[in-house]
Amino acid sequence: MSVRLSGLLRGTEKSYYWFLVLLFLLGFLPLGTVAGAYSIFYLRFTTELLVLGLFALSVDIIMGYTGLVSLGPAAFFGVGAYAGGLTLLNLANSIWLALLVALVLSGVAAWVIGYLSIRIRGVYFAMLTLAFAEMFHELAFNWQSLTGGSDGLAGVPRPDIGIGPFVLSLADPYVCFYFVLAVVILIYYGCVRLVNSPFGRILQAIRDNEERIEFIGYDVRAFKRRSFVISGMIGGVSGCLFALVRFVDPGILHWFTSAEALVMNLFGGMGTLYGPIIGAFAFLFARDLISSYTEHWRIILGIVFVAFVLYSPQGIVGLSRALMERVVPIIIRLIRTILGGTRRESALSGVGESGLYPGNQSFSKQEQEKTDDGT
Amino acid sequence: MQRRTAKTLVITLIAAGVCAGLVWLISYQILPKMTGKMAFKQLLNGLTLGLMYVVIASGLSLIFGLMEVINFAHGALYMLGAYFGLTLFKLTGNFWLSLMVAPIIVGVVGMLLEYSTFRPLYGRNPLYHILLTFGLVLIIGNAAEMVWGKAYHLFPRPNGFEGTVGFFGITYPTYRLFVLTVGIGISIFMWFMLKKTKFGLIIRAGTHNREITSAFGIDISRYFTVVFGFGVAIAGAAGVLMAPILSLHPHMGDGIIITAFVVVVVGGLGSLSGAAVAGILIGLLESFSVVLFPAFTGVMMYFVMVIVLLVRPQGILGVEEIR
Repeated sequence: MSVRLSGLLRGTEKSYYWFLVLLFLLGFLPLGTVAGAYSIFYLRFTTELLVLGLFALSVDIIMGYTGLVSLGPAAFFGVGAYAGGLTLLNLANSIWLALLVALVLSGVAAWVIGYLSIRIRGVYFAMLTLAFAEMFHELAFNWQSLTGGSDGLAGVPRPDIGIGPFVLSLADPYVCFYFVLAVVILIYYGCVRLVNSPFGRILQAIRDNEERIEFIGYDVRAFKRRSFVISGMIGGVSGCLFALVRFVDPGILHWFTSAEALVMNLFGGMGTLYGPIIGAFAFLFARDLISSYTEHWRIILGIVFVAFVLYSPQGIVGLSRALMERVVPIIIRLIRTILGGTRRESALSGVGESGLYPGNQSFSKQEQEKTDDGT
Repeated sequence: MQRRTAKTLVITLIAAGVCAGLVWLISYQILPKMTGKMAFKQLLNGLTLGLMYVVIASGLSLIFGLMEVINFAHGALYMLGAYFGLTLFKLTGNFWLSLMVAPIIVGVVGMLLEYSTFRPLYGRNPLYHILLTFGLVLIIGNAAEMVWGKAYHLFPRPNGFEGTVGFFGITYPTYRLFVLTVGIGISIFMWFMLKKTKFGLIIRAGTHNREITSAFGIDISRYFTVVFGFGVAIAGAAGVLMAPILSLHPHMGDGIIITAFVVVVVGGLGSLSGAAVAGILIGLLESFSVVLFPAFTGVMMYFVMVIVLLVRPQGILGVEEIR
C-alpha cells in the first residue's frame, strides 16, 4: 500500500528563516506584560504553547520529512517528562542534568521502539507505535513506586539556572519563558539545518520514493531509525520542558496526546517545520477560546478538524499560501493597471506566478490527486 | 565457526533463562494462587472477554482489509451501540429488541459517516483517515456526553439471565455464558458469510486485490459502505452485549480500541482467523493476569505483542507479506 503523503507542503529556504525571525520577535512579548497590556497568564500560556509547538515539531521530523506516520509520539514526550521530573525530584536540582537525562532516555526509548517497529511499514507501523505508547501509559499508571501512579509527580522543583555570575530561577515566569524560547529557537534552527543537510535530503528522498533510495544503495531502515531517534529526542526535550511549565501525570502519555500532536501538524501544515508550531498555537488558542464559552469544546473542535481533513489537508500554511498565490497576483495586476500598465505587461505577470511561489507546485499536485480517486 | 558457537551459546543461555523463568513462574507465582475451580472460572471469563475482542477486532480487520482504513472511531461506535441499547431498553423494556435494533442503528450511522466523510479520502494517504476518524472520536464522544451525560450508567441484566448457574463444581453468571454463546455465534456467522456466500467471496477478492476485482467488472467501492456498516454494527452489538457486564460512560470505547488494535496486530493484519486466535489469547491473558499479576495486567498484552512481533512480524496468522 502506498504510504506517500499526498498534498504535502515543502518548506522553502526563505520561509524557514522568516519564521526564525518571528520566533525572535516573540521575545518582545513580555514587554506587554511589564507594561500591563495583558496579564501574566498570557506569558505562561505562550510558554506552554512553545513547549507543545516543539513537541509538534518533533512529529514533523518523522511524519513530514521522513514520511513515517507514528501514532505514538506521546511515548517520548512522556518519557522526557517523567525523566526530567524524576531527575529534578530525586537526583539533582539542575535543569541541564534533567534535559540531558530526558534526551538520553527518550533517545533510547525511540531507538528500541524504532528498532522493533521500523521493520514493518505503513499502517502496521502506525499501529505498533500506538501500542508502544499505550504500553508506556500503562507503565506510568502501574509503576506506583516510581511514577506515583495516577497522581503523577507532585512538587517538581523549578531549578535555578546560572548564566555567568547571574543566578536566575525558573520559577519566575519571565525566566521560564525566555529559557523555553531559547530552547525552541535552538532546536528549530537545528532542525532547519538538519533538513537541509545531506542527511535531511536523504530523509526527504525516502519520503518521496523509498524504493529508489533503497536501490541507490542507502540503508533506508537505518536512516528511518535515526530520524525516529532524533524525533524522539526532540519530543523528550519538549516533555522535560513540559514538566517544568506544567505537571507530570500519566495523562500526558494517553493516546490523546499523540493525536493532538498530529492535529497540530495537520492544522499548521506538516513538512514545513514552522507549520506544526503555528498549528500548535492555533489549536491551543482555539481550544482555549472555545472551552471558555462551552464545555462541549470537543465537538466543535472535532467538526473543525474533520473540515480541515476533508477540505484543507495542507493546513493553515497551505491555506495562506494558496491565498497568497491567488491574491498577490491580483494585487500586482491592480497596481499595474492603476499605474497605467499595458495589457501585455499584465499577461507577463501571469506567467511569472508559479515561479515566484514554489508552493504552487505541491498544490496543483494535490488537486490532481483529488480528481483521480484511486478507487 | 567461532561466531556460530558463540551464537548457539547465547541462544542456549537465553532459552535456559526463559525455561528457568517459566519454572519459577509456575511453581511460585501461579500454583500457590490458583485452584482448579478458579482456573476454570478465569478460563470462562477470559473466553467471554476474548470473544468480545474477536468481534470488535474482526470488524476493524475487515474494514482495514477491504478499504485500507484504520478506523479509530471503532471504539466510539462500540460505545454508541451500548448507549443506543440502553435507550432502547429503557423505552421498550425489551433486551432482545435492543440487542437486535441498536447494532442496526449503529450500522446506519456508520454507513452515513462512511458515505459523507470517508469517501472523499479514498486513494489518499491512510494518515488522513486516521486523522479523520480521530476527529470523529471527538465528535461522537462529546455528542454522547451531551445526550446521555457524563455520569456512569448501569445496564440491568435481561430477564432470565440475572442469576448464576452451577456446573462442574463452580457457579457462573448465566449472562456471561450467554455473551460467550452469542460471541461464538457472531464469529461463526462471519466465517460463514465470508467463506460461503457470494457476497463474502467478493469481499475477500477485494481484500486480496482491489484492481483485479474491479477488472472483473465488480464495482468494489459500492461494497465499502456496506462492509463499513457491517463492521461497526457488530462492534455496536458487542457494545450492547458488554453493557450489562461493564458500566456505560462516554469514554468506554477509548481503551477498547487500543486492545482491538493489539489483537489485530498480534493476529495478523487483515486475517480474520488471526484476529480470532489473538482475541481469545489476549482475553485469556487478561483474565489470568488479573488474578496472578494484578499490577501488570495492563502491560501484559503489549508484552505479548512485542514477543510476537519479534518472532513473527506479520502476526500469528498473517499470511500477507510485510512490505
